[in-house]
Amino acid sequence: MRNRIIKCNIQKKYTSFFYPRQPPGKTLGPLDISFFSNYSIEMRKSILLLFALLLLLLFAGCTGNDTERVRTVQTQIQNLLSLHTFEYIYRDVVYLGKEKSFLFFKTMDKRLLFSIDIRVQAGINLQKGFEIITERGNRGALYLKLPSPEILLIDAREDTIRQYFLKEYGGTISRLEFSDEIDAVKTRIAEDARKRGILEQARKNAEDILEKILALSGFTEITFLYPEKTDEVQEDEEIQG
Amino acid sequence: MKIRIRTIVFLALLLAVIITGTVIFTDFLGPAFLELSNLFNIGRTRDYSFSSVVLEDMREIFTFHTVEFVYKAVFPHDYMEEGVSIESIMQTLRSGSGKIEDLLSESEQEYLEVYKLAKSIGIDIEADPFDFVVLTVIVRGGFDLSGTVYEDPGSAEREEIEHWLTVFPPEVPDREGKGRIVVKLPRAEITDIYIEDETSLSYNYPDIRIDPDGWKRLTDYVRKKSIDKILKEGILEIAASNAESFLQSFLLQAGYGSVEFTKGYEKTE
Repeated sequence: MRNRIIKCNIQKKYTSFFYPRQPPGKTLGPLDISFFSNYSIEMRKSILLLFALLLLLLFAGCTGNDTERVRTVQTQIQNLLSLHTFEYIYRDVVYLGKEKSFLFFKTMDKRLLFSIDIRVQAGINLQKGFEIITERGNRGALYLKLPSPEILLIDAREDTIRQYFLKEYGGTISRLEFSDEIDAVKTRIAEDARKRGILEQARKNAEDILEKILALSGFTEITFLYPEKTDEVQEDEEIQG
Repeated sequence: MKIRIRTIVFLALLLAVIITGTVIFTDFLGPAFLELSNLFNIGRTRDYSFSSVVLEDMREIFTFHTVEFVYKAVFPHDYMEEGVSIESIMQTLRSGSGKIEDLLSESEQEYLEVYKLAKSIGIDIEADPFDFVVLTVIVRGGFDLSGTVYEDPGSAEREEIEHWLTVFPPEVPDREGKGRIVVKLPRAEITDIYIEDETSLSYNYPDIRIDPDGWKRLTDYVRKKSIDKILKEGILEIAASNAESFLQSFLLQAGYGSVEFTKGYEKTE
């Protein structure tokens, strides 16, 4: 990553307005403020006020996010043990816009309409821990204590974006503007998926595939056990109910 | 006295121009001022957003994720080699003749590709080299069990099952007198890749001007490049090794004396 120095280039401009009674032959340097003494106190106050306002405007345009440094983040590797067994695909159609007018003049009019698919995946997160209990004297029997199924992923799929129209007058659309909109519906989608029984379907599928794999390994009687209801599961059931 | 009044009038006018300009062209004082101007019915601002969601599809998936790589990509700077510039590329192209692939080096071609992509989506690297976007790419490795013998052993031939998994009966025990199992896993693969969805609360860098269509093209590019990078980092080997250690501990707990994995991963046709 290249080191980049972000500079704000403020141009220093001197006009005759700032030194009205300039003594002949005197040249002002960039830091020379002796011209200031040529004004009355009221005038100095007004100039100071104007300068303060200008500085405020300049800093508003030049600092803040621009000076944020890009942090180099290394690749992070995490061990994962999750079995994703059911997926819902939602389509989200987003329309957003902003209009501004001042003195009957339209100063801004931006509008955007697009659609995007959001996928919800549910399954079992084995990283939360699981337990295997065998039955003495019965080689084919196995008790498998698994974590409760859960929604493991809600992701907006950028590759499915379809932009219908974009109008940018007096302003532009930024990435966070529309990604905030997408994010806003995620909670609603998760609730809807739970209501439709995604967790139940994920549990059934997980049991099904584990049963088949274990059957290949010689286990014929498999019993699945789940932990006692947690707040999260209760909440899921309340939503489903 | 005359001069003083004139100066004050001039200053007042200048101030008015600056404030009006600010209101029109920036968001700095705009919202606050417009709220005030709304009272006098001289300015108006209206934000609107609508979103409707519909369930389109539901399907079964059987993916077992065993490793996850979280990678932060800085577009476009991560894909532009130091020392290469658009001027030097243009110079090379102007002075030579033939195909671009023959004239430019690999890094120059990549630079040109990123330059064109960035420009087409509104990021002009030459005009504003400080525009950037940080993407969190998540790549998962593991096994897609759909279509393998593990998904539906019932429909598989006995020979096929034995090819993947062999359980030695108690009559043929291991050295400790326990059962033995030999497993062949399907080939590990990249099971999922996605870009983390950021919001203004979670994204700490400057926002960029981009429309959804540009965002789609940008993420397509970063996704493709990330796969190459993560494959070089050995995601598939780690995924396979994690699966082996999981299965080993699982089957040992289930009562087998030893678990063996055969070398060379193969996938059923």
